[in-house]
Amino acid sequence: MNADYEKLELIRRYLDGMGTAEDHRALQGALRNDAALRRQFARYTNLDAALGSGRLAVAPTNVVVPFGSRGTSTGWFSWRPLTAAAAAFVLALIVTQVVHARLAERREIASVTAASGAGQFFGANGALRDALSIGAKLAAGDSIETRSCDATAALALRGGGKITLGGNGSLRILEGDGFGAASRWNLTRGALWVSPDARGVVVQTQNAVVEANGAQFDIQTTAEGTLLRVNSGQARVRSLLGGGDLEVAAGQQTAVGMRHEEPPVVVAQPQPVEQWTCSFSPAVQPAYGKWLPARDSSAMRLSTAPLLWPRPKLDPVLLHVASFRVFRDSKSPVRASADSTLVFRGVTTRPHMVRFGFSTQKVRGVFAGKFEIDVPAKDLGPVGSEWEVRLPLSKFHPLPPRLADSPDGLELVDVYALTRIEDAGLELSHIELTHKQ
Amino acid sequence: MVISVGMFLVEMTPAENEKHDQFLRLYVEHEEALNGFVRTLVPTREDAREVMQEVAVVLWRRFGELTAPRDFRRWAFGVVKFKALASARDRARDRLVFDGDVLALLAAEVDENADAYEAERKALDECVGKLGTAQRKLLDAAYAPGARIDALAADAGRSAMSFYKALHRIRLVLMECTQRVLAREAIE
Repeated sequence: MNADYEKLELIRRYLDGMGTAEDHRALQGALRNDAALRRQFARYTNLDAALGSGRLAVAPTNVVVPFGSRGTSTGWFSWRPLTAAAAAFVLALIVTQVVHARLAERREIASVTAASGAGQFFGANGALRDALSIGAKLAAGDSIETRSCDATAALALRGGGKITLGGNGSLRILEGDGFGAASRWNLTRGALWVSPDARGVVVQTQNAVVEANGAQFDIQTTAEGTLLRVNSGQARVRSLLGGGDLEVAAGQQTAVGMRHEEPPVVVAQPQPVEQWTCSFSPAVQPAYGKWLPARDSSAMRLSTAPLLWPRPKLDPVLLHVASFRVFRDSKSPVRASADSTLVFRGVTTRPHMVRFGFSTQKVRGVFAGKFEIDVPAKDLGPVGSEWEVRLPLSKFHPLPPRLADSPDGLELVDVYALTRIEDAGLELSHIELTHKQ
Repeated sequence: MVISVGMFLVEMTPAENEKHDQFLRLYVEHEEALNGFVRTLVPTREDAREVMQEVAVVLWRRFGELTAPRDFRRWAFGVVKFKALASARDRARDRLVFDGDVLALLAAEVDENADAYEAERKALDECVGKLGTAQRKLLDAAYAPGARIDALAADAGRSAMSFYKALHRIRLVLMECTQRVLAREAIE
């Protein structure tokens, strides 16, 4: 449950003078407790002030750069069994097409074939739509965003193949070659999956460039960097912080970090496990919430942070959420099974129903839905005392759009506990997935 | 040199002239940093402009207290903090302003990382240059002196909300771009 989008949206509304009192309280609370958000806020205001103080008057205007000639690119053509002359011809053709596309008309590079949850479309011409409509055609410069962890969008590429954007994601089309054989994308946030029949796909993230031609792979971006997993075919990755290209074959993965001193290495993808105990280590950034120091001999505690949850066609609802990304805490994918049980320990300082939940994806595949269960306050025991709830996964109910009836065989993406509207002082101290042998 | 103070024109002595020139050089050098700092602490652009004007007056009046030119930014940041907190107190009744402790945390963030924010502003030129024509036009219009978003949106046949969101999106693109530029420069 990556909350960057919601936090940035709160910042925007505050600075544009459009925030409500509730927005203001949520933002102030988050700023008080979250140093990273204060930095984000200051970066945003710093940029806003710089744009407003005459910098635009001296900034250069855009120059069309030929496909593949940027510093971060690519080498895609060197893979292809083309002669140098043919490559030059193709390159010239692409340049012509890209320039033509920029100057003359929108050329379709992909179209939306499926979308769920809250999403947005940002056109290259400044158009904004608060939903992703099926059949919408996307061209260079267009962006789509999925605005909650349960939102997804599937795009059919003009040249064949599919790209699926996961929850809390932001994807922009940088360039296409004009005839559907190559496209270049910028994944600024979230995760995406590319089908094996997609040709000539180049995906740039905040710190890496991934290129593949007929491979099935997925990319996950986090504040720590970019994770590439290849499940069929082969992909090539390059860190934007330097270093050469790395070839990643089927069954392998590589993590490109944000530190120059730690070059990425290719390793075999770990096999899924069916048991997991959350480390509650402050070294692992929670997806949502804030760390509290250990009490007595217990481990660190994770308390909630406010989150405005966007809902399609409805006002957002205020949640108080503590959430972990499982893949950040576990080196291996954690697979749920029908007879698994999630164990939570924690406290609440006010009597309130607590909602427990988890998000899933197919193992090495796309988002597969969220599952939740509500536990009434009376079942949590006395207020202020530590409780333990053992929740069989079979008791959780799937949320719309009900991508799977049961979590059996799916990979856990994040695990969370929350209260709606009221802050009940919820703190978690233990999360565990157990599996009946 | 003649400067205007309120409605009066004041003739300055050569020593005052020199002091004024020095002040102007330092003020212009650090104006963007001060603008950014004020914008962080004050909720709207209009309020920020007002606070900046007050800050400039105070800085000039108290310029004699500055011990060394290299300390200008830190000294000026102190004045900004004072003025921004006063502005927040004044506006607390009719605006949503942050509590003093949150403003202090934000001020500390900008103060401690002022060099990093300056580097981001410099990287911004390259990033603005990479924007598409439509995005650049929108940005130019939104940040033109005296621009009103509601009027711009109405002219474009759009809602103010969609205009704000499009602007937000461009700002995020620029934030990501400046990070990439700085990461690239760090390894070069």
